[in-house]
Amino acid sequence: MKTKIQHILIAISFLVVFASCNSVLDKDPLTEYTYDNFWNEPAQASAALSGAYFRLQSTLNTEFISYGEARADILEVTRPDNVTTLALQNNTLNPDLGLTDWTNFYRVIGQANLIIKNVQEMRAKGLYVNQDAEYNRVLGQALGLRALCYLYMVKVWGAVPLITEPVISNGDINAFKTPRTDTIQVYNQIVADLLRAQPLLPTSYSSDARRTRATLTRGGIDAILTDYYMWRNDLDSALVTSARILSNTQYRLANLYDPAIDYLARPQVDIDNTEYAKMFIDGFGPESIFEMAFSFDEGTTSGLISLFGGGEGLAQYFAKSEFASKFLPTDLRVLANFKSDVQIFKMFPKGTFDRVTANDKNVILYRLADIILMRAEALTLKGDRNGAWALLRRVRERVFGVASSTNNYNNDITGPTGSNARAAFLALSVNEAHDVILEERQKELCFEGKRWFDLVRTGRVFTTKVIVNDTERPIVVNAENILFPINLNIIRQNPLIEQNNFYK
Amino acid sequence: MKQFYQNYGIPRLLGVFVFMCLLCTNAFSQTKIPIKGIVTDVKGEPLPGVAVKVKNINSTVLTDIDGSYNINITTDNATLIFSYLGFETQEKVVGNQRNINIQLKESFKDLDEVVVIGYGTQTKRELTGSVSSIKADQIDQFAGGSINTSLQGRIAGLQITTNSGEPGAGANITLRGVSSINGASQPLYIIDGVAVNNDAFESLNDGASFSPLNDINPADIESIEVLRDAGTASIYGARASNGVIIITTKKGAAGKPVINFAYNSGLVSISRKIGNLNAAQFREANYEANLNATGLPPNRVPLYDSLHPYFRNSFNWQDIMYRETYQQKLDFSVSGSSKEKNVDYYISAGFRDLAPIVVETKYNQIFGNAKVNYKISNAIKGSTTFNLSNYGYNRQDNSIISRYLTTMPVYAPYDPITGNIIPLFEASKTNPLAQAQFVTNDIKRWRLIGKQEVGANITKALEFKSSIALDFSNTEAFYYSPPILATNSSGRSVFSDYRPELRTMFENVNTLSYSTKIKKDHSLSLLLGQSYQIFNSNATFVRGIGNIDNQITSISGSASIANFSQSEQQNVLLSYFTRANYNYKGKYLFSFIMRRDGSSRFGERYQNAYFPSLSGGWRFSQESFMKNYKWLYDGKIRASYGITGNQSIGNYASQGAITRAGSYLGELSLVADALGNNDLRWETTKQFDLGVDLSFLKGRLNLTADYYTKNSDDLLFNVQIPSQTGYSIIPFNFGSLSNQGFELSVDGIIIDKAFRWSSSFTLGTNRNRVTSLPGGEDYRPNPFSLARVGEAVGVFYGFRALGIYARDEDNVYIDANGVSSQYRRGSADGDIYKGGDVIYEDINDDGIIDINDLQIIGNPTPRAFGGLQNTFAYKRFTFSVFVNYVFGNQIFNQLNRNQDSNQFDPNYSDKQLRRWRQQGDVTDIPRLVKGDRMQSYAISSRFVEDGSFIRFQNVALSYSLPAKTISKLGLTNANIGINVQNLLTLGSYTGYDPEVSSGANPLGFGIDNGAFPKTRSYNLSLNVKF
Repeated sequence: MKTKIQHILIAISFLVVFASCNSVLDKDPLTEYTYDNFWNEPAQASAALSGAYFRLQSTLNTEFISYGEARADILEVTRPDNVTTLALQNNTLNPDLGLTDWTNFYRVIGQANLIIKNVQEMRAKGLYVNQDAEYNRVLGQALGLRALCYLYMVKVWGAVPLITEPVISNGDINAFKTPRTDTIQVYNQIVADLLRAQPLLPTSYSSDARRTRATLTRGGIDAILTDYYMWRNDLDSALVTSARILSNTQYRLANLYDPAIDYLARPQVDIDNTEYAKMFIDGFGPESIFEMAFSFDEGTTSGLISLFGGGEGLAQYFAKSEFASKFLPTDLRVLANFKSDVQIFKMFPKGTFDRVTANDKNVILYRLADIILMRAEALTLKGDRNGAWALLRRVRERVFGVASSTNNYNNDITGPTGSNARAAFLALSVNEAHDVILEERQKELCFEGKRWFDLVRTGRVFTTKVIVNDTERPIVVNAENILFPINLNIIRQNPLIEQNNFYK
Repeated sequence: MKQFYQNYGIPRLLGVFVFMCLLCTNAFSQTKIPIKGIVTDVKGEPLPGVAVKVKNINSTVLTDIDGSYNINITTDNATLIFSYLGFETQEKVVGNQRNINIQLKESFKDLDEVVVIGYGTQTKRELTGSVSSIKADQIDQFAGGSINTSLQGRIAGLQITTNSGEPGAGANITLRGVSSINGASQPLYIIDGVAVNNDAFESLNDGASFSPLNDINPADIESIEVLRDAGTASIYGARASNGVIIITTKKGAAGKPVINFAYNSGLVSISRKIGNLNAAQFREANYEANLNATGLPPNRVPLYDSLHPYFRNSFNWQDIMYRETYQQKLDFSVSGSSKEKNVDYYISAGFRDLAPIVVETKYNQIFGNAKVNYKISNAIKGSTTFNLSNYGYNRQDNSIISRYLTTMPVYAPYDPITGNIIPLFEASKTNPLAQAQFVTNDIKRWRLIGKQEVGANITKALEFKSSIALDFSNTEAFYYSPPILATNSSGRSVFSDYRPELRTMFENVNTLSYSTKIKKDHSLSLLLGQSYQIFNSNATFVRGIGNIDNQITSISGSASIANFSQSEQQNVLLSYFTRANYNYKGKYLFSFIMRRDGSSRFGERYQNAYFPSLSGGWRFSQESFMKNYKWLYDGKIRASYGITGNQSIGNYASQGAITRAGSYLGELSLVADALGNNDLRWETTKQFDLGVDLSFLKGRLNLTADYYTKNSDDLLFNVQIPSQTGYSIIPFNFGSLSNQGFELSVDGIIIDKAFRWSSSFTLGTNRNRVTSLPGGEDYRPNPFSLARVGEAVGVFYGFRALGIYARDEDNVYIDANGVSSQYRRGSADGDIYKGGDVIYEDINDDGIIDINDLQIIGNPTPRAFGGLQNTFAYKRFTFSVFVNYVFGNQIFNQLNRNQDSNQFDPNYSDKQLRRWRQQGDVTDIPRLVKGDRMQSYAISSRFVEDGSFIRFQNVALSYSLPAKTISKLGLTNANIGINVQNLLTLGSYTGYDPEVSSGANPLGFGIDNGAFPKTRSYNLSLNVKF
């Protein structure tokens, strides 16, 4: 009996020993993909593209304001305890601030780099047979997102490390440390990516109408290109790309003025029902060229709620009263933009403000009015004042209606597009006319992250004055101060990154 | 009997036959004289289980529970031998006595004491490696005691830094210096032979780490062994680099059932509070800080209106949030064996209530433990062990310390008008008390460790053992942020998190062991084994949002699910190992170990690795030339060299990961989350140890000293890479470091009379340095610390502060050409330092204080640490004092830096009372400026403090009641005691406690971020045996 048991035990144990050969050591993840088992199906690449948008959300969520507007002459910090917003407003940026960290941009870029390389390999392997449109969509959007990120980054930090290939480990860990690339090279990459993406993408997506607004389309690429050319002061190219958008049937200005309704005489709530207000409140409007979609159902929270929502003590920003008072009393945008004069409600309903439903407002990065006014600038600078006026009038007529003797908002002689205004505009110097368009941009695109970049690219950042601590001063005195500092963590992790001069 | 077989080699059956015959002869040929008596120790306590033997005759009985024995002799000339492990053996000639009571004296040192090593045991005599152990009586039994606190200061070279004073908190455990950089690197824990899951688990949202050892009841532990050198540890190969800690639980003692009951209770309070400003001092400081920054006074009501009904009082928030609590622990156990002695058992149950010192928290835990050993037949035996633990903990998050310190003293917790609690101060700042009351932050955990083992003696010398073990744990974490504390900024500030996490481990170990003696002088034992271990984990996370009230706090009350994730993981370790021990006449000892480990965590090329070690010992005291030195009881020189490894890295680290991030426009979003590394391989540590064990005066004085060197290569951890890669880390084999050190432990009995004074002392010293880094480039994992070739691991890196400018004109910089100007911050056109700003050392002498002036400003690694235990016993009283000490390390007081540089109108520490205020002030605290434009609060030597301390860890007095008194109550033993835990800490550190731990990453050691504060407890204990 005893020996029998012994024999059985030994037999069992040897079974265990031999059952366990080396294959038991090969364990693949159960709830995630690895680099080895990914990029096998077009649907995986599509999900990766969706992931790039997901990351863009966290990259520009509140940052589109921090980088694009907070340092300009529109916003007033309401809470005296917020170090970041105060530093932006008072132009006392330092490299400790979280917003000086470019990590999130590179997380989008890294994702885009993977997609760009792998979809091309997948196609070479024949995985995209009969799926040209899908291939073009994924590749084109990835290129566009990469360009968009680099464009933002050069605007904010100047030279940045240019990385266009997927990062892999080659055994040398120091190979990850690369210095800042010359700005010209980054610009060349941006424009090359955009020009490559533009023909790949369709003007709209029929599968889901929201995709036409909230993912990149051919129009979206044209918008980034226009922005890029204006930033580089390449007016001729900007005129070409903006013309393409103006003739793109996907886009029209959202309606605001309605001769049948006198919004000024009605409760402010009614403005919420205009197409113009809905463009911001509900998103996906007819004017939108590219916006970031946030969704309560998907658990993505828009930064707009923390930037502007909640009123006194909660909103990070109000409008500067100097800015708010620039609007004409008949300007319907006042109703759409503000509550109690300076509270920013452009993206929220003026009626019942429910913070639970107000935290997924989309962030519009490009819309038609933006492009129209940039084109008006370009025309002005190129000497086509009449062409500029026609565009300016389009934007104003959306707000005030067509000038006529019966329009109380826009009298055909004294109204914003009346003959007096026209004559005055045509008579202005180029510089003064440019100022008029920039002010129109400021009013039209306020709280959309445009103003700072407008001031920088037109050099008006040195002449525009703001009041800080009761003293009026130019926004920026030292040209080196235009760029943002580079976060200390970035430099700590990569000592090859040199700090921007002003913040050394 | 064993001896009998081995010496004469008579086949078993024949042996049994002879034995039977002997018994028969004995029984029938001679008259029997019955002898009885009681065996006690010197205190008169009965000793059960003492072997009483008639000399030269194979007749042995054991004393029973009350120490009594009955034995028959045949002649008055017979001699009785009384022997008991741990006591000196006594012989007694019977003569005409028929009732012989014996007092046994504890032996000073027992070289036959068995030490648990991997997959077996060895006597101390035969050890060739370095092993230290502590026994049950050294393990902390007070309510809040744990394995970590028990080991502190008791084992030379083992440094334990508990993470916080929170119940169940994890600890940083480094053995012989830091040898791994990976934050998850823990020693390998072997509990009753099972390599248990030693991954710490973390709380939701604040990431506090909890020790997996918290599931073991200290009262159930018989001994803890620490394998210190490669000569012993490499039997556990790939996981042994950070030390191996072997925990053996109690087992049943032979004899009648013994029921043990222990009750421990304690009054617990925070050991120290930090000096803060009161309302008036705070307003003054805050006013100054604002004025210095903007020229304007503060504009928030509580800051300037000292008469406002809500803000006119002064509160010390530490007083509001910390409390004195009563903790208790109850333990109950039964142990014994069957009459036939073929089954022994130990069964226990424990309960503890560790009410933490922060208000609105609760901690309850129950333990169950059962261990049964049984013999199925003479050749086959088995054992079954179960350990069960369950606890529930309602806690506060990790950031409470700085929250309580920085809360403005002008904030009143309750509305002065209505008396209701104020959830949000100024409608936006959370009231810490309301947070404690309304936020749910719970952990519920179950853990079961079970083991089934069968052993068979194939021949007398060859034993086969097979075991299967299971380690199962289920940890549920809840977090609820209620509407009452929602700041208006986002609808998502009301949320309910739920994360159940299941971890299982299955282990199968099979060993063959063989031991034999060849020609009497050659002892050989061999071990051959194989083990297979698979770890599974499955964690799900769900966040619900939009709960409407504070009543239903779970996701069942949520409006929708905002976030979810699931992670299921596996890893496998397949290992083969062997050990050969050989000794010649017990004088020359050799041991060889080889282990081959295969891990699923590494790329195919690097899955398997070998971990060998060789060790030897020479007991020179056995040599004939030492015979004249009687004072030397035993002397041994040991040496070992071997390789151990570390595989602590993510389960799929080598493969990279593309994971779900969420969705965009309803479409699944996958993101490249982790960068893989196909070249990932084992971290290896090569360790050399030279040691000596000396024992004097029959073991009354013992000394063990070891010198070691340890070189760790291919350090395995998640290395930070520039974020421009799109990733933040890569798992990588990065750099090398070395440790060398000296360890000493001495114990002895200084007075051995009725008054007995025994003392033991441990000392560990260690020097470590980074020996290589990729490309020789510095590595800075965080803003405070630095790894640089040639320097100690994790040195602090920052500016060196030389003082504070008393006046503006004190700032004078004279350049190389003798031109005088002033020091500037940051750049040539940067701001000029003025009176009240910090004077930073300008090491490159360019007149600019910038990144080029950063230097090494401190070292978090202690030069020496250890403990000193003194025990005084007189009659029934025992008094002991245990002191532990750490010397020569520095602490970066980030808690203070964070508090005093906080820009959100915090309360300040009372150091600010010394701040610079006007021209000419000579002080060490700079002027207060909100926003800190002149970087007075940059990382600098101003916050580096000496971390040395001496702590009176435990002072205890106990009294054991006389047997006469208690026997009337049916008790065999009763003991009452009082003790004070953490009575006093001597040291200059100004933070809460010099024992700071800032997460587990050794590159970030010694940074005090403020964890749950340590406690002091006054305890009462009662211990009775039936």
